[in-house]
Amino acid sequence: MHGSGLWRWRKPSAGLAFSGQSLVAFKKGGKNGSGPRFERKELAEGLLEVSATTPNVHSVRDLAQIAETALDAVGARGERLVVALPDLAITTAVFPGRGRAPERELRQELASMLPYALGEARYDFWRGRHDEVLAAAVREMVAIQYEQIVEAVECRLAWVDAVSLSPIPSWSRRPSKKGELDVCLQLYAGHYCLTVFREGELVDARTKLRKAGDVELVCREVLRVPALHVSADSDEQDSIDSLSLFGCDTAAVAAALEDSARVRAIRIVTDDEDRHLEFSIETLLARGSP
Amino acid sequence: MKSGIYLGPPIGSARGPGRFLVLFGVIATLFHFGIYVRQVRELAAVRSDVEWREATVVPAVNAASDSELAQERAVLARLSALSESGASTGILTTELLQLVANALPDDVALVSLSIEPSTSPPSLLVEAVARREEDVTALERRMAASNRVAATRLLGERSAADGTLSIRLQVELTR
Repeated sequence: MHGSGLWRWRKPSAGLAFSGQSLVAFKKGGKNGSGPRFERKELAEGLLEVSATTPNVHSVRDLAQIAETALDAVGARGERLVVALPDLAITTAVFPGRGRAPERELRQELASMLPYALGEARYDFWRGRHDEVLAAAVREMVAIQYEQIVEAVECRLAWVDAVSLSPIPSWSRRPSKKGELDVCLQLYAGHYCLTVFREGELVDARTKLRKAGDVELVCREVLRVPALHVSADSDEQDSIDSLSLFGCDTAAVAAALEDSARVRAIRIVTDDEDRHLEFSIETLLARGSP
Repeated sequence: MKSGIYLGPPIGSARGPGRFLVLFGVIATLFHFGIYVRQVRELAAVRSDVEWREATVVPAVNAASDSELAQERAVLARLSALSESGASTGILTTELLQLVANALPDDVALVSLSIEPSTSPPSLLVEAVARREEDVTALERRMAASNRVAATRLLGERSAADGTLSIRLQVELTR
């Protein structure tokens, strides 16, 4: 199939995910019974400095060599790849109740949030089933560096999304009850991403920096969520119905919040940053072709 | 509903050249198919025309050729008979034909030529069609001028509706 024009009709089966400290290659299990394969490569200090405004990769060639080694290890050389970009390279916004707004208006609102001109950005809008809009933008010069890595390893691009944004559409499809407040917390060594659903509607997605191992700051932010997203005139209780934890330090966060009256249920989904990057790639692979 | 956020290279621009090539290929294929259909039609028309000509014209030509050939054969048979009988007193059949050919004016068409070797002296019977009376006179005069011809006699002259003259001319040869 590789080399023929039919590859467009075939779902990709491998992907790359980037975080500031590591690169992860993942390939799904084959029909011949081979299991999924996963390879993590630690990145040297300074090789990848994630930023939304300036070029991220210090040496595309060096990073491509590392990616090549990882892809060889999982047997995904020359394949079509989904790519999960680092969260901090992306600017994200949520527009609740704007699902029917024309894209021109959404563009204007997104442009006001970007630290660079909209003309220099690649952006996209995802409209949820509760009339909410998730907006994301990446600076062209930043995105191109990651694409150059994929080209350098003789692969082709499929979906390109951010690590923490990729599972949001699938989470929004989960059933929810009236007044229910669900929070998904994705934890990484240097940052975390908090996603809030009220009655199934995406109402907030924020990415914040943190020091490695700093759990207290994260817990404070989580506990602010009910006050931010439960309306004052509502008779609903001022608490989170479900908190799902992904990534690193999840056990510590769960322990810190288990006695809190503002969190009713806590669920640890993944307990390792690399496993969460793998989960992100798997989510993108489930989408098929863009 | 879209599956999610897509931040890759613009899909439309990446596939643009491919789309253009496909479109160009389709148009070129249709264009050549049109030319092919037109050529097939032209070929079929030519083939039917040839078949029609083979069915109508060639048999007519063959028929005409057959009758002319039969006539020529008859003349040659008589000439041979004349030659073989010795009655022509030494005049060769080719000489007789040469005589008739030289004597015929341009506007006179030979219809038939008969040789009567048994008569004494032997004679030729020439049937021809002429446009004018002057041509008939010229034919008689030219025949008579030959030293092989003893006398000429116009046996019949008939005027047709189109103004032409059908004649029967007897030529007596010298011994």
